[in-house]
Amino acid sequence: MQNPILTVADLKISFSSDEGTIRAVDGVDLVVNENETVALVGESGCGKSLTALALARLVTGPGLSLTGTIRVAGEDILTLPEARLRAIRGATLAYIFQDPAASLNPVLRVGDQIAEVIRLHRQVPDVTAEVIRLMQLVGLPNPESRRKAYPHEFSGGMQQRVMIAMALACQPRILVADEPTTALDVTIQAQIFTLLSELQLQLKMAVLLITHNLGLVARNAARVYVMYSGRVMESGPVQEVLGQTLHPYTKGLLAAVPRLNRPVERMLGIEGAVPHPAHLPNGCRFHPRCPQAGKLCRQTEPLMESVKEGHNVRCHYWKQQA
Amino acid sequence: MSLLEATGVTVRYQGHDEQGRRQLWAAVDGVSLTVAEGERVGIIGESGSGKTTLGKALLGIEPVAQGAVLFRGQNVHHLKGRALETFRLGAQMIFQDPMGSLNPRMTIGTALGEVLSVHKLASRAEQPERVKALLQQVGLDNGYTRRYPHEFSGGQRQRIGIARALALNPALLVADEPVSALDVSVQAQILNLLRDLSEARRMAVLLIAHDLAVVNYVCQRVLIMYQGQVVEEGMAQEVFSNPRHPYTRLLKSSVPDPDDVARRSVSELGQADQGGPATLKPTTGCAFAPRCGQAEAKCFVEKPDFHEASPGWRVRCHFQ
Repeated sequence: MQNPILTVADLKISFSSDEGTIRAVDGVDLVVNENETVALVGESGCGKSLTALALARLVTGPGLSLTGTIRVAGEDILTLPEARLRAIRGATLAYIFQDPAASLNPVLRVGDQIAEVIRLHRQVPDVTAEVIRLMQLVGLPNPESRRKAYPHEFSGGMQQRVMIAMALACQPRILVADEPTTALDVTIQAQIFTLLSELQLQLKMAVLLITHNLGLVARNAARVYVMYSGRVMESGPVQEVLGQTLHPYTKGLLAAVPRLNRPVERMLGIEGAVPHPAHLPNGCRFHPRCPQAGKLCRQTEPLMESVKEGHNVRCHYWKQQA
Repeated sequence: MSLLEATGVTVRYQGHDEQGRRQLWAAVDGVSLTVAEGERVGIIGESGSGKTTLGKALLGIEPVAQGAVLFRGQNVHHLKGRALETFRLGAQMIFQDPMGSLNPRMTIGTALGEVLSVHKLASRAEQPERVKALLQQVGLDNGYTRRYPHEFSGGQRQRIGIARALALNPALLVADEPVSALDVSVQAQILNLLRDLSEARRMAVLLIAHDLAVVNYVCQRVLIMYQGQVVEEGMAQEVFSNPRHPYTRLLKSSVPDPDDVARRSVSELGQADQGGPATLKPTTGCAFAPRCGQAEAKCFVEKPDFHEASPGWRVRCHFQ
């Protein structure tokens, strides 16, 4: 039996705006087990990054309402006092983001920035030695001298390695990686993911990978959640969801990815666009773009159904899809 | 005669070497390429490979230190007056971020109308009709003419960028990373649009991108760039299914495919690559040698030439 390190139940995040309530995340259930890599995929505006930020209660905004439960290593994040929360952020749960340059302080040496995390969360006799060890761990060359360099003296890939060193400084139980390689070249992306999977084995941590790239999901994750318009539409083991796809949205995404390994006569994009979160359609949220939508889909929103062990789908007609 | 013919194009910038001394550095280093009428050619490269600079040099926007670019037989860097105007009509460019090239205070109708009036392609009376037709061609509703750029989604803005380029009825469209900022579902729509327009109008497309699969889908021929040089050139399907240059092979193995589920372990992918392109090229030998898994002593001393490995397929590698 696997132990969950992260459990999210019925997570709802909404904001108020001139156009009414924005229901950005609307009832998300999600589990990440110890040492497991789980992917959360979806297009811009589906609520995947907001879900990721909520895990450490980092969401702010006008008229914010944040409900449901989030448990990280047994702690109930949404009811935790701020002081306790600060101890968890960075120590039990750490983040890396898309643009490392934006997360690094441009006027501080990278070694000092890594040291700050260590001093904040741990009692270490020789902080400098620990900084050097961490830089070695993430494959930054010549840490003795490079720790004195500033962020702009590193390439994008190397900056992301610095971010990973900071994230790993306290041996987190779960690392949330939000589009960690989207700004990087493919060869550097491959290097970063190789590094992450090696570190994961070595340090025994779970990874929640937030991405729009289904190729990365296939290569790196064990399970996947596909989000659309604030809801999870399909979830399960990667082989199931990408191999025996049931939801028309997941199918649409897969059909829209150009492939190198097999010739594609003509790709089919998904017509239309993601609905505005203040003007959500009735019924299934995907029905205005769904080629299979029927009368039922326009009227009633489907519930998440379990198809088989671990594979869930939110579609009235999944039986016809199989 | 080819529509576009570039020979030995070199663009140099002022740079610094590791000791901080000023040094001229070739961002584009002796690139030759041809684009036939209606042909779709892709240029692949990572950041800093010189692909964007090459695109600008081909359009005469970036001055060249050496080499020549001929468009319908005329050197684009020597054009003046009327001839230059005609060239600008014939060759258009679209960019990654269409918001950056749209005036935020001008409605789409005005912006597209301006293009037509500047080039005297439509009288004021004809303008609304022409704008409507242009928008229709790129799949946008004509009700959109009164809207401002910020009221559109990223995919719609890219369609507007394409519509503006099409207004001039170009023979060549240079598209620099036109879909890399878009979601996949929208990306597919834009790529289909580019392909369809190219077929329907016999418009040549030079697609500059980092995504191999995108180029494979749109283009017939492809050039792979590394540090300013073309390292492999050939028919897209052949190059991508059976790459000959070690760099192209590295690129291909780095692209994660949704079908990859089965071959997921790190060791199977065999990623030994640790380097990235250095800012300055090695002065001797092959530019890729320091990063190449197959490099031998010869590669660090002797520059490989760009030779034909089989008809229409050229590679810059000693071992091909």
